[in-house]
Amino acid sequence: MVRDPAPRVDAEPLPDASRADAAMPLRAADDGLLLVYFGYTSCPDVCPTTMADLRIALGDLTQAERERVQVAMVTIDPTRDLGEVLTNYVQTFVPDGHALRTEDAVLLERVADRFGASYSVERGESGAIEVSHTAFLYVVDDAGLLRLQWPFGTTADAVSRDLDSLLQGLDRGGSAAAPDPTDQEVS
Amino acid sequence: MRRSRLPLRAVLGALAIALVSVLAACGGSDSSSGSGGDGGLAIADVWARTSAEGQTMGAAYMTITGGGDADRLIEALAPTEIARLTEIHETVPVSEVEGAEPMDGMEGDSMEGMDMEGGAEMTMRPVEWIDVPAGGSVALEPGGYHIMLVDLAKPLAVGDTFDLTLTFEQAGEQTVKVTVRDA
Repeated sequence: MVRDPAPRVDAEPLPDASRADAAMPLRAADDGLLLVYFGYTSCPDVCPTTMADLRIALGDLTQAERERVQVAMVTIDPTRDLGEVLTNYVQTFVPDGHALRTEDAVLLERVADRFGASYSVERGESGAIEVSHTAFLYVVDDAGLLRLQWPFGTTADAVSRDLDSLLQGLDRGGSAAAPDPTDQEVS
Repeated sequence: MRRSRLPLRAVLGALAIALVSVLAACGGSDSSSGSGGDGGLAIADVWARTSAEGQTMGAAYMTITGGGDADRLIEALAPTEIARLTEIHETVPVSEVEGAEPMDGMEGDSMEGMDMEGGAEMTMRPVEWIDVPAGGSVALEPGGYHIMLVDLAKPLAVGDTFDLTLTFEQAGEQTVKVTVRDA
């Protein structure tokens, strides 16, 4: 799914728990792509499925392509997801992945909002913590523009093809045309 | 905060004994053949995903094929060495959950919500049972039904196996072996 015009999402950095809380801009390195996911580690189904498929997709890229792609998971449940837990979680799937965590709820909401992501973490009647969250995986380019978002259930193949196409677009010079949107049906 | 054990359990246990043939149809089967020709329930491709250090929740998946009669999966239980609690859950778009959103007073017309705002927001809910149609199958798969392993005792590693006891309304208790995969 292509967002047009592409929203700018890099106005504020987030602390990266996997890099001693260094501020990480939500923007890719030059000529690269940054994949951003808003999730939480006690998510047994949607988050690990997305991350596991992403791991497969990244594995399908050439080494040179892979080096241009960074992955960041932003926790929407910072109370339970302490830095170490979040780092372990994201790096189980993507060894060099970034673990973004802030306890500033207002900042988190502002950042998520730029992506169009929403979430809620509430204690339900039974006492269990109930969480909902936007399950898109977002692609940000080196200008901090949100270029593409994949809905939950997008196949690893489709993700890999889109990444390939976006990276080639960057090769052809800067603000490349967005790739053909992958068919977004949940498989 | 334990879920109370169903008193039904004892009854179902007795039922299970009466259904030895069903057990025979599933137990020890290493093929993923579909519905048992002898009217038994079949459970195939049982797996759980690996979990990271410190991750509290896990999920197990499988395909259940019904026998001659419709049945229902009503309980699942993993050993406490694996998880403190075992629950049956379903992942659903928030738009399908009644009352989940303040504005979501009207159920039913929310399918236009499959656009990029809201419709893509996912949540999970416990389910009391999963219907297993006679002769048909139901998949417990990522993004849908799953057996949720609550408070994992230790990380699930590739190749680990553990027993999962499933209780069906008709077929009683069925114990299956779950294999941990990196999928």
